[in-house]
Amino acid sequence: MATKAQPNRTYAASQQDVARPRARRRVACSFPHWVWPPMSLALALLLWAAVVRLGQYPEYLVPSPVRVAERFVTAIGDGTWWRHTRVTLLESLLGFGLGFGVAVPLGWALARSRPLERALSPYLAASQSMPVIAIAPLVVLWFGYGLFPKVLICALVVFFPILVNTLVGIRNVPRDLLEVAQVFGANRWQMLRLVELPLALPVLLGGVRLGLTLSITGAVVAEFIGADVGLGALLNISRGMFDTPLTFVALVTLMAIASLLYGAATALDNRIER
Amino acid sequence: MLILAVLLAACGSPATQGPGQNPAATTTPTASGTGATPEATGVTKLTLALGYIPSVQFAPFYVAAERGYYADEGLDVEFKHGIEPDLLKIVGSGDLQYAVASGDEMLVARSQVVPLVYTGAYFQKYPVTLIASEKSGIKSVGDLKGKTVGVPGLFGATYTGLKALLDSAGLKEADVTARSIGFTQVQALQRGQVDAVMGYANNEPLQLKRLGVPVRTFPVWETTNLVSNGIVTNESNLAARPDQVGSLVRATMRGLQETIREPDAAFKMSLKYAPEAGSAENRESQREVLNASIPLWQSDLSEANGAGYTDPKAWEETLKFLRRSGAIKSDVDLKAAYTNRFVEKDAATR
Repeated sequence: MATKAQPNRTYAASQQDVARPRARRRVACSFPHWVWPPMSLALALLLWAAVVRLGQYPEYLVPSPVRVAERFVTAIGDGTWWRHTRVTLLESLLGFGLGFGVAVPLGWALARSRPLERALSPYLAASQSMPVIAIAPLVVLWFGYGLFPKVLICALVVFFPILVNTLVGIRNVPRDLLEVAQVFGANRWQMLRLVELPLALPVLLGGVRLGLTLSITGAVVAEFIGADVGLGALLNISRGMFDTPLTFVALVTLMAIASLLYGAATALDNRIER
Repeated sequence: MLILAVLLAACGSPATQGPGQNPAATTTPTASGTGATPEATGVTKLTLALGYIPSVQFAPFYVAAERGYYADEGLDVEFKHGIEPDLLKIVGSGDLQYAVASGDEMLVARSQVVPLVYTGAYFQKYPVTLIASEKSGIKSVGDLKGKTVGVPGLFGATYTGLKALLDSAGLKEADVTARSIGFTQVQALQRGQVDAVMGYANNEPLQLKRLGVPVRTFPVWETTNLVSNGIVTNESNLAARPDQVGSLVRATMRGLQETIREPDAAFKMSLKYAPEAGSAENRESQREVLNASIPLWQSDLSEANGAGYTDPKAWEETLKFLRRSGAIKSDVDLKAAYTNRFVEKDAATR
C-alpha cells in the first residue's frame, strides 16, 4: 500500500503499467488464473490464524481472523460498517475527481509550455515533501469541519501522481504525429482529443490507478484529524474503546476499497487498450 | 501488508508472560545515583509512558527525576510519550510496565480484558471542562440542549467528559450536536463555528482568555466524580515487583508535592524535558498552564489520605457512569482495578 506519492515511483509505476499487458502471458500454468488470488488470501489468513494461535496473543493486541470476521458481521448488522464506509468512499471519490480535474489540465499545460514547467515544477515537486498529515489540521482550520476539507485533502494527495503521469504521457506523444495532424489541418482541440489524449492514455491511467488508491489514504488522514464518521474516525473510535477487532474491520475495509478501486481502474484500462 | 505487520508483531516477545519472566526491567549492580537510600544496592532502569508529548503538565515527573527522588528509590526512569490507548495496550501486553492514563480509560481497557491496575493518581480532578462562549447564552449544562458542541473526536477524555456532563444534567447525547473538530477547539469557539467546546481546564480556557474571547466554563469534576490520570501498571508486574511499583508511585508523589510547593523551580526543571515551552513566545502561556494544573493535582481527600489517593466512591461512580453510557458492557471488578496501598500520608516529608 503506497502511502506517499513520489515522482520516480509514479513514473516507474506508470511504465510498468504500460508494459504489463504484454508480460501477462509469460507464465504457463495448468490452473486457471482466477485461482491464485483466493489461494494467496487463504494462505495469508491461515498464517495469520496460526500466528495468533501460536503466540497466544490477547484479542486487544492481535485478534484472530475468525474474531475479526465475527466483528465484521456485527458491524454490518448494526449499521456501523456502512455508515462509516460510505462516507470514506464518497470523500475519496470526490477528492479523486477534484484532484484529477485540476491535475490533468495543469499537467497538459506543463507538458506543452516549457516556461510554465520551468516556473512551476520545482515548487510542485517541493510541495510533495510536505506530509499530508501535517497539512490536514490546517486545511480543517481554514475550511471548517464538513465534507469539503476532507475532499480537499484527498485531492491534494491525488493531485501529484496524476499531474506527473499526465505530463509524462503528453510529452511522450511523438512530435511527428502532432506535425502530421497539423498538416491535415487539425486544430488545438482536435489534436488534444484525437492525438494527444489517446496516446497519453496508458500512462495517464497508471496515474489514475495510483491516485484512486491514494485517495483512500487521503480520506483516512482527513478523518483522523477530526470527523464523526468515516473509516478514519472509526479507527480512532475503536482505539478509544479498546475494540481492536473493530480496528481490524476498518483496516480490512480500507484495503478492500483500495483493491476494488484499483481493480476498477485496471478493468477500465484493459477495456480502453483493447 | 497487514499480514506482514502481524508477522512482525509475532517476532516481538509473547504477551502472556507469567510473573517474574519479564526482562523489561533490568537491575544493574552499580552504585546508585544521587542521594540513594542506604538499603539501595543497585539502580533499576524502567520506562514510564506519559501520554501526548513532553509538556509542563508532566512537571511532577520531571521534578521527581531532577530532584533525585527516583534515584532515592533506586530507580532510573526514562519517559516515553504516545497515544494513551496504545500505551495502555502495550502495558497490558507486558512490553512496557508503566504508563500514565485516566481512570475511566483504564476501566474501559480492563473491560476489554487488558490486565491493568491503577496504582496512584496524579490528577485529583478530572481536568476536562465544557467551555461555552458567552454569546451562546449557555449559562448551565442544561442549556446545552439543541446546541452544537465541538469535541476533538468521538473518543477519549473530552468525549467522556461531555457524556458525563450531559448525564449529570439529565440530557441525552442526542439532545446536542457533538461535532468532531479535531484539536481546533480554540479557533472553532473564537469564530463561533460551535456554541461550546470540550477542552482541558488547564489549556483551552487560558488560550481563549488570552485571545479575548469571553467564555464560561463548566468543569466535569464539579458534577461527576471521575477518576483522572494516574500511574498504571499491569497485573503481572504488580505481582512480581510490588516494591518497584511502590517506589515509582512514592517518588512521583514527592515530585508532585514539590511541584505544588515550588512551581517556579518545577517550571524550570520541566524546560529540560519540554524545551519548546521555554521559548520567548510560549514561556508565559506555558507557565499559566502549570499554574492552572496545580489546583487539579490537589483535593481534600489527597490532603487527608496522601498524594496519589483515589476515592473508592469515585471509582464506583466512574464505573457506573461508563456502564450507563455504554462504554463498558461487561462487569469490571473494581477491587482488582486499583489500589491505594502505595499511597502514603507523609510521602512528601520523607
